[in-house]
Amino acid sequence: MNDQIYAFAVIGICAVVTIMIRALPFLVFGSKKLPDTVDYLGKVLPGAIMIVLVVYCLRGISLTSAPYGAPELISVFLCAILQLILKNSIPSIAVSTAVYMMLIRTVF
Amino acid sequence: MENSVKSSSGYSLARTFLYAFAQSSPIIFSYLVVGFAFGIMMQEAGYTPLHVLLSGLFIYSGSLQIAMVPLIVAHTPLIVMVFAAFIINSRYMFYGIGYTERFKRQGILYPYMIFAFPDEVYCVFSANSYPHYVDPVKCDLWTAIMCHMSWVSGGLLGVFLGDVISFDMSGIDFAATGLFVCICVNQWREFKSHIPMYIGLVSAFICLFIFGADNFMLPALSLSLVILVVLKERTKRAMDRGTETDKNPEEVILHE
Repeated sequence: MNDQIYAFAVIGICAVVTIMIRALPFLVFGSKKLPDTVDYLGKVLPGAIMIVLVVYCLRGISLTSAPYGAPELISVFLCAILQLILKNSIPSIAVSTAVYMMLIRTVF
Repeated sequence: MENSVKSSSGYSLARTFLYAFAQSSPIIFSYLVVGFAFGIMMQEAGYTPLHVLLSGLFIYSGSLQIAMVPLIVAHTPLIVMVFAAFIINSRYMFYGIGYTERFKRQGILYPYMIFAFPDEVYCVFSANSYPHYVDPVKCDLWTAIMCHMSWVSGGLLGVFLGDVISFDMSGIDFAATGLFVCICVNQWREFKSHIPMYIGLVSAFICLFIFGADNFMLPALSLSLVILVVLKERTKRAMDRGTETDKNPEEVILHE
């Protein structure tokens, strides 16, 4: 298969699989009145999922070899502190990203 | 959500738009940046702006699109791509839980809301309660559209400007991590009980240890969901009362 056409096919597959995954909970719970437990999960699940997402973003770091994930952990910590103080995500994200990019180039 | 029963006359269109823009702005920033990185990767791999445009419009998933590039370059068989896409994005099946009623209010655009629902949009939707002057239906829609368009724009900027901008951009994708950290901090402040966060944290580490970095996501989310259901009465009481019962997370697992 032509390389460019093949890439379009992959994009199509990724799009279809992704929309099917996204639609699944709506197909399961969409037609009937929400059970009490689903309503409850809608409220509490985001709290759990968000932490899992942060761990997901950091899954590539190695704690057993240098630099022991230090640039990532320092930047995450900095971002959390900034957000606690400033309560505004844009400077928190911008500064921690800039610091991260600097750390991986210079210190580590 | 009581806002929804109010007549639309009580809402200010301009302020609704501004509110949608303000709550989207960290996502717009991070999408432009990460989308840009995706555009550059595609361009360097030899693919066209049309590939980038279609990916951004119809896949709209940062993690999958960025993982997809080396797989395309390696000419991974299409059937393998089906499984790869499913594994990478399986977490989305948890996001719709609790959003059916809210998205249905978009009427004909209900399917669009279901589609335009990646991690970051899920973040803002889960965190907010709109002020009385904001039309919640329009605000949800405009937020979804603005985020989607910024993701597409980021990709296109990357594929067109990747050649022009010569400095090394590696590490810029930390912007996405930063966004999740910010949302975590916001939730930590807003949630009346921190039990859901402890459950997420403990599940993530247990599954990371058992399944490894590449496969822990789906088990971790499933485990979180199971523990949350098992501890439903307890968590619900804590969320309603707002009195934090500082239970040791390890203890929670033992009970489960």
